Amino acid sequence: MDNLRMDNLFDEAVGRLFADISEKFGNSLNLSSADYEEIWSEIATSGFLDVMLPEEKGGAGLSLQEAGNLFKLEGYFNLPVPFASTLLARSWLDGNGQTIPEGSVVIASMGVQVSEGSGQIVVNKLPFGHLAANFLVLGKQSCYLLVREKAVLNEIYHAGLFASVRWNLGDAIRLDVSAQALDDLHNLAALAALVPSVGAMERIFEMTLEYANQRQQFGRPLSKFQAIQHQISVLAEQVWAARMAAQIACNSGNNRPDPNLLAIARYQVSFVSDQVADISHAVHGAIGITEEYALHFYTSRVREFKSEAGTQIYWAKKLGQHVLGQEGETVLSMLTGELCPG
Amino acid sequence: MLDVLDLAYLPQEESQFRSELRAFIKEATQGMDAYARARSWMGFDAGFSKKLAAKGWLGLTLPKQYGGAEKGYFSRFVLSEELLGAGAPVSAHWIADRQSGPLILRYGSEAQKQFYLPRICQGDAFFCIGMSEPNSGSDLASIKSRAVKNDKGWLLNGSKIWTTNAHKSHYMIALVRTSGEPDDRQKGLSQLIIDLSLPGVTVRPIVDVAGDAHFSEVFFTDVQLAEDALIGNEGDGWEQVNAELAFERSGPERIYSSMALVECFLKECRQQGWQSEQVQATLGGIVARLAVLRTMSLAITCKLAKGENPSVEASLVKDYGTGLEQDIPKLIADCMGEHPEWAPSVELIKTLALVDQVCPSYSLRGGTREILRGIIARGLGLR
Repeated sequence: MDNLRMDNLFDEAVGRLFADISEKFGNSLNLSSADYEEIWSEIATSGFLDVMLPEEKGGAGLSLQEAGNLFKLEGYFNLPVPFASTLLARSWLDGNGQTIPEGSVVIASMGVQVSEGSGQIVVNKLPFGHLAANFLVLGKQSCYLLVREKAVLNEIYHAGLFASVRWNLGDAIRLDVSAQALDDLHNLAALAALVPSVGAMERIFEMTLEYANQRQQFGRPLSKFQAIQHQISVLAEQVWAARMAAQIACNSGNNRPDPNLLAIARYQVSFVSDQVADISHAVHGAIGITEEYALHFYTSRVREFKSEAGTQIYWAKKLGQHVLGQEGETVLSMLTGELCPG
Repeated sequence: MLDVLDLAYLPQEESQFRSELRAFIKEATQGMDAYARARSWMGFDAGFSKKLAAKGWLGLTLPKQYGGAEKGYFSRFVLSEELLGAGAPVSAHWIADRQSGPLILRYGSEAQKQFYLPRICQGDAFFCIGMSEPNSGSDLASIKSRAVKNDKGWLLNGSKIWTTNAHKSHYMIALVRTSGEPDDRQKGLSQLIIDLSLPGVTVRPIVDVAGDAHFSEVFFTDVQLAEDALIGNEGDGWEQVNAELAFERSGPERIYSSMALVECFLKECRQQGWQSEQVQATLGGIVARLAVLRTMSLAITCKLAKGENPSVEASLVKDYGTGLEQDIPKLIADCMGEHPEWAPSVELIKTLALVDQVCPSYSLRGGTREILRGIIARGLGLR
């Protein structure tokens, strides 16, 4: 965890808990439901799920800025549970006067098909769709709370992160919230995808460095070859930029990310995702694409989540549209003004 | 060691300084089009430098006793970003202000400080840096220019090349051999301040791909320098040069080189009503990457302000930043090419062509990509 910053007591405590879980269950995302329940109950009994709730509700009142590192830990330890998403969802539900359900909560804003005709809600790529207890899914100008118990599984995808799931509309609870709350929820879905990805990148970087130092070819460690050194230097640049992006995304004193800062971060993290995965695999050689070696669990997560809640182009367009519309502002005045984390 | 970069914030009081700067720069550069601004820190205008000096903004971080403003690293960051972001013609004083002044302050004798620093702060002494030679580029330690001690000081022979502004500067701080042989590599090198008006100095400008002559070849034939031309200690030149380069790499220079083109493109999109999805995606992508790089650069400044030496981190940000600077003309050209029905202005067309042609230099000056990636790898313990 050399490169992980531990800024407060929560970071340390959650880091220890996740390290234990990770050791016990390995890195695999292909878990049985029983394993998943055991992992989740360890996390739930730790009390950390409420850290973003206000103090009067038994929480610690952490802002995004204070909780950002916690989200990263989910990816760094490659936990097969929607930890970041649950923290954010609980805070959003509470803030919008909704009841917080028991168990994990996934926020999904992509590929949600709500069909009145067939009376179904189908999500073909739902994060943790086969494992999580609850799902907050965003349709067009609507939001539903769905429970795992009522879901019909169509498909579990190989990497074990996503599933295709459907529900009967009659089993969906439509939440009565404002348009602003729906926007916020979409942003939280992006945040819950990008920050854990950066944690995974940090672990990928460490693994790549370790492997290059340890693996010998032509009588010396890979790390002594200039071609490898330069690839790892580029990897470092990308991971450092992604880490900064995660901080930018979480630069908020409350539980709502600034939409422009979020767009900046979502773009940057997606922009480097494939390159980070590609370089780490190139350095690792064949061992990296074996099931036995853990690298692919992290690179799958990075690749799969890079377009969750919108691809880099989607977020670039949002930001670009905003920039174009700010008549009288230059790029410099925006970079040093509203687009500067303050 | 490659340290983590954390989000840093500019102190509140810098925003007043920024407003003053922005108003001044707007006024002083109002006649410049994007094509002129796109020279960025290669745009030479001694008159502009004198105006900045009159405001007290040259030698910003130098002590007041030498004519400086004694401000900190954050003010320097704001000054650099306002000037570079606007494409102001800063080239005349840039090297003196950014590198030579701090070098003289750190390694110079009291007499040297009293002589050079006030002149730098007044915009009366422009400097260039003599490092590369015809056969020594990235392999800087192989330089052959030599200064031999004699009864009058130092007798200098040799040559330098790719020296930015040599033909427009008063002084050069050169890395030369003062003892030993080229095989001794980093040992036996020293830094000398050379008055470029001395007999035996010949400067020949080199015209670049854009038709500009911002760098030169410089020949030294039996140039007699006084004893006090030596800056710092004899034989410490390598260490001093590396400290200087770390400083060079630490600023926001490595983000904003293509900024005039970005601003020109944005302005034109608004004026011509170019609002397509490609335009949104192109601008959004560029602005997002600029915003992240800017926070990384600011994080480096914060480390400097804390008294740390972030030279490895600065190399990382520089290598990453020049990548974006070089991507910008390609992204904008691609976007324009998707719309054959558009009729871009002459200003945009020639600014794009200029940046496209000169941008390979962004990752050459001050240390190539390969050198920087080597520094990062060393910081990671790989070499």
